[in-house]
Amino acid sequence: MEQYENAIEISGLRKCYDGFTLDDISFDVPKGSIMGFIGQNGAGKSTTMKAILNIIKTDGGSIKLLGMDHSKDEAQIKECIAAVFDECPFHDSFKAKQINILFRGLYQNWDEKQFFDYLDRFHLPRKKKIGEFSKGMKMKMQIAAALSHKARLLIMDEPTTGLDPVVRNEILDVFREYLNDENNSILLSSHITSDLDKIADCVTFIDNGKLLLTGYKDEILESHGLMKCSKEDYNEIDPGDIISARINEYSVDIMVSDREKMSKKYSGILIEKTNLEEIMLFYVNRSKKEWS
Amino acid sequence: MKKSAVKSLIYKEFYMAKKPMLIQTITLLFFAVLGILIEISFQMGNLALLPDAVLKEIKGTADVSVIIYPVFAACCFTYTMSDGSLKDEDVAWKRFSYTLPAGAINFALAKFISFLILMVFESIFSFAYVALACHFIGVAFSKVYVSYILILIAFTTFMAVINHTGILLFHTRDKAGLFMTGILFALIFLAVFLNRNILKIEFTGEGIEKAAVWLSPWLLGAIVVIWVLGFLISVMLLKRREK
Repeated sequence: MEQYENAIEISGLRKCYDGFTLDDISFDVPKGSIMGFIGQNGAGKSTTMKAILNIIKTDGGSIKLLGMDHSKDEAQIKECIAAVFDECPFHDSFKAKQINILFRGLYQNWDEKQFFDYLDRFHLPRKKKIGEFSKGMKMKMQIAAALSHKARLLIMDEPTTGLDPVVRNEILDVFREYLNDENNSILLSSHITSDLDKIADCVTFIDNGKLLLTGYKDEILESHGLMKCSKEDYNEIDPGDIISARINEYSVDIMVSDREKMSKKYSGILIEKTNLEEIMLFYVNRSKKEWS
Repeated sequence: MKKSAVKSLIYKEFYMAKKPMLIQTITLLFFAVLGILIEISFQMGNLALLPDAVLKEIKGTADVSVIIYPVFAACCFTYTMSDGSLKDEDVAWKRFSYTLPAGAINFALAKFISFLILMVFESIFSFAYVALACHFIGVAFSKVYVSYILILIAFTTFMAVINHTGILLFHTRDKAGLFMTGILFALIFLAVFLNRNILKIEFTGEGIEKAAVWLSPWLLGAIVVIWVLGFLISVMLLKRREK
């Protein structure tokens, strides 16, 4: 495998469906980082993930995984990546033993001991059928399998959706450990922004098939701010400085993309730090400009 | 092509099919026991009050039932295996399989080698069973029975391949079933047309036996062609990506 700087490089990705287009998606996932891929339902997250994994054919753009072309070097790439989906792909009649036997033949670097260690750590019964597992247990089983063949890149499509907070935290801890090896990287799509607040190094926002924002999470959180002002003050604010504004009964909340500059320009107005959820909400409504 | 990948996938095919095959085995045993009981009934003279002509016809039918029904049940193992493709569609396995380091050829080989293993088992079982049944009934193990076995294996292999292809094309049991029914009826119409205009096989016991013996050398070739074509179509369909 060649040396590479970014675990994933996407440039100009395009995919057209009737009524929906993934349009010019470009972002990179730096090696050794977790990229949170955020968007509301139907934004295009799963379509992007499928394109990355070569599950669907694209209509344009290029994708590189681990420095290799995702289509031409598919066989080599698949040995080094692991995918986790929100739906468990294992048949209900399978037990841990069957998954071990199956993956042992499929992956050259399959580590049986590591797989069973993860099962013990996650308290997953070895002799119970997958069909009898809860949703959280099924997800943990997927993750145990994904982490047991020395994958350099984990690609996960909404792995924590529908899980209780205890299980979600447990899974996020495992991801943090996985990234202790700086050669490992994760692309994690979710609409649960609180999980990404905790764990992501980088974030990419997508809405309606279009890229809204991408970059390091801390930089994005640091640069963006939520301006809280009265309706009278709102009328004084340059529309070019506003991403979008939430009109409340007596006040207006305004998302700005350069908190430092805006605090100097509008010194009388309070600008607070914000979080990923609010950034997503305000960007999603940017075409309306004003919403409530 | 990775041998270990194909082995693992064959293991998966058989593991998923173990419950349906168990049910199939029970069906096979049921038909075998039923046939043996009918035969014992004849041998004990339970139907002696019937006229000789009727008795002869019933006996002939019973002999065929003892021999053919269990063999047919055995040959359906291949078809049972083909239903595993539906289970792949029910869970997210199909989508997940695109992310695995095994190509379409590996998946198709696993399925068709599984079919082949079952076809060999069906053949061995069928010949052994028919030989035993003939000895028990007191009829000669003739080439007609060899022909019947080959016809059943060819038929069930064909149905398995069509079922598997239908599932890959249409992803649901209903649509795959309609596809299979359509193909089957089309072939029945073709067979009837060919028979009326070219083959002219008489549908009597003797006529069917003659036709079966005439057909059987071609059936080995037909089984190979069905297997190869089915494999190639399967590879092509498995290479398709989602829309």
